[in-house]
Amino acid sequence: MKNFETKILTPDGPVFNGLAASVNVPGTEGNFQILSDHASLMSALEPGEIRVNQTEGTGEVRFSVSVGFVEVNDNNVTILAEAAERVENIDVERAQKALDRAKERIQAAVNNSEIDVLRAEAALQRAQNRIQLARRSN
Amino acid sequence: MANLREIRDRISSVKNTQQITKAMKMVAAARLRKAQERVIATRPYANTLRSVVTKLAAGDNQGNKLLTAPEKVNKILLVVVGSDRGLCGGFNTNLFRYIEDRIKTEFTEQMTNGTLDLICIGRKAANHFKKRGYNVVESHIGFFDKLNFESTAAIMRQATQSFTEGTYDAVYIGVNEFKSVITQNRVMEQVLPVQLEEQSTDDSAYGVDYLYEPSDKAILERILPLHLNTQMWKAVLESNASEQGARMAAMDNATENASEIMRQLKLKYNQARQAAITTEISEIVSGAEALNNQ
Repeated sequence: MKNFETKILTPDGPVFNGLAASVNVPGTEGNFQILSDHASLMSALEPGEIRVNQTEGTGEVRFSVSVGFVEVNDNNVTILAEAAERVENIDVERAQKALDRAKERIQAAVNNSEIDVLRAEAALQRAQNRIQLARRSN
Repeated sequence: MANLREIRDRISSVKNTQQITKAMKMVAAARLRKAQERVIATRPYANTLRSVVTKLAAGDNQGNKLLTAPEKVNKILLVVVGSDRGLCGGFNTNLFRYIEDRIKTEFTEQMTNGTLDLICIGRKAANHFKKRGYNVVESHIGFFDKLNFESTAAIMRQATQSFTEGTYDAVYIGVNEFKSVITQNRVMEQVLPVQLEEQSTDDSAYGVDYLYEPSDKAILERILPLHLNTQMWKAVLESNASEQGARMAAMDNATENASEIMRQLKLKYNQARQAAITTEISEIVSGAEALNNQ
């Protein structure tokens, strides 16, 4: 199988840059897999899991991703995400704290219109995603 | 002639100050390196994002609120990025003066109507604009102590939301841009409605027919906020790097000045010491003379 260039970029710097045989991403319309010679594509990403399959070396690398975007063009896959980290590196304790905070905010929003429910829900979703992924890998 | 002890005390106090400025300069240099690394780290992300946004926005954008300018600009939000700490030369003062000049010339109407709101990042910015009676709606103090993307993006998300809801008709950022270690560019840029650049032909996304999932419009709507957050993040990081650079330069000057003062004081001290010795000798000699003459 042919390999292609894959990059995962975040505001804090690239988290992955290398060759991959296949990449699985959580698109807004559902998860899908990118193989080599894929047609040019742009898709928005939901919070979820990115799986990069490397043919040589360590095999599969998994990342948690918050909202983002993927561009495929000419065997180059570029994933842009506001936050992405390797599943092994997820700080479950911190994610749990974020989850609790988001829950509190949603609860409090019932009596307080100042609080942005949509944002709190997005934070909740992100935290849940990270905890889930971290638990599954352990 | 100044008292010897007085001069000695001054020398040691200048020396102490110099040690502090030297240390601050070194700390600033280390922080500057880190800050520059962070600016560089965001570059691939920011550049790709920008090229994608230009590509997507080149199509039909009717109805995208973030790209459409309101007919009349009544309410303006201005985000000013200063620093939390002082001792960085003209870093803050120059920026604030520049911003106030721009406000006076461009937003006179909004200023008199009281429809210009400010968000201040950094203690110095908050203090400055609050004291001068500007409408500071939000201030973030101690922001640079725990500088991270999430808290920066949160400010922009809030602003984007206010813009879509129609609370503001335009959003600007005023910031020191990093030009080199010793020079900063003061800029005040409009971020909302989004200003688009011409798409360059050597862009990787140029002329390619993409499949869009779900659709180009939907993607643009999702990606524009990311682009805005990144612009804000870049502004904050550049300001942070500029601040460290400005502090480094200021502290370097201070250290040099201290050396100069010390040189002059030492000269004075030696003169005074010599004069004291001469007086003492002449006293002894004249005393001996007096004894001999008896």
